[in-house]
Amino acid sequence: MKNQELKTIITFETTQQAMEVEDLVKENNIKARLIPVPSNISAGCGLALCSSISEQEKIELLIKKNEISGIKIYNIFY
Amino acid sequence: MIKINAIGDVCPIPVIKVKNAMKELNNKGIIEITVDNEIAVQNLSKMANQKNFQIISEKINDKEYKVTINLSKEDVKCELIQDNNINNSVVVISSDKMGDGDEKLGKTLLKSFIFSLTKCDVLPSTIIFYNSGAFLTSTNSESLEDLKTLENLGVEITTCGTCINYYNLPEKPEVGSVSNMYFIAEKLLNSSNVIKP
Repeated sequence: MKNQELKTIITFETTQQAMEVEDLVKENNIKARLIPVPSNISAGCGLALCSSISEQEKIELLIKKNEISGIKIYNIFY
Repeated sequence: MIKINAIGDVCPIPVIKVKNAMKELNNKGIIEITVDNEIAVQNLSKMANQKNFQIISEKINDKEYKVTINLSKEDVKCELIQDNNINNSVVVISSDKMGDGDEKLGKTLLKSFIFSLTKCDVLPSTIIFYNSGAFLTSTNSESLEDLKTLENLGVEITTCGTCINYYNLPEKPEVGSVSNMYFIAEKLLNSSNVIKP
């Protein structure tokens, strides 16, 4: 609704994973944050990591390095 | 300045008279109205508060109350509130966690809740932070950006001063104002909808 920008949204299989990745991005000084999964992605009740597109590559790398599987990456206006 | 005598007028005549006077004054200046009952004073206060005009009432005797509404003391930013679909609900954040259970999850949930508010079509009029909720408006809070967004949309953000003091937080919150328990009690009493996540 307000101030929409193209964002990277990453969803996880579990809430624990989402929170783990939030810690990882913080440790690595990557600007990203946990938000409730936007309803246009899923009607579920999980958490997603939200960042600007420019941080996406770094986050993907971090997730791969830490062997977190089952993630989904979306680019949406949010 | 317009003086109105609304003694003997039944509800909602005093409010209507004031509304008409506001129009006549083009929302500038002072309206002084005399009414004969406490309920009329309360209704006038509510209306003035909604429009963000300063209001002072004085009880002269049991059958006479003098109410002064200062239209010039209007908060321009707050006028926007009406346009932004702000309703009369008050959100109370009484802890730095949402719900009972795991501490880390609780903090994450609360952050999510505040973020979600920024995406809602209808916003609360006020968010009150007290007890460990005071950490949310202070330095190092991860919700500051969202709270500033809400403040810019016209939501009043306020933090309990006693709590800031107790937790040794910086005197001035990073977002919003500091308030005392009288203010908090009044806000809660005047709201028909208090939300405690």
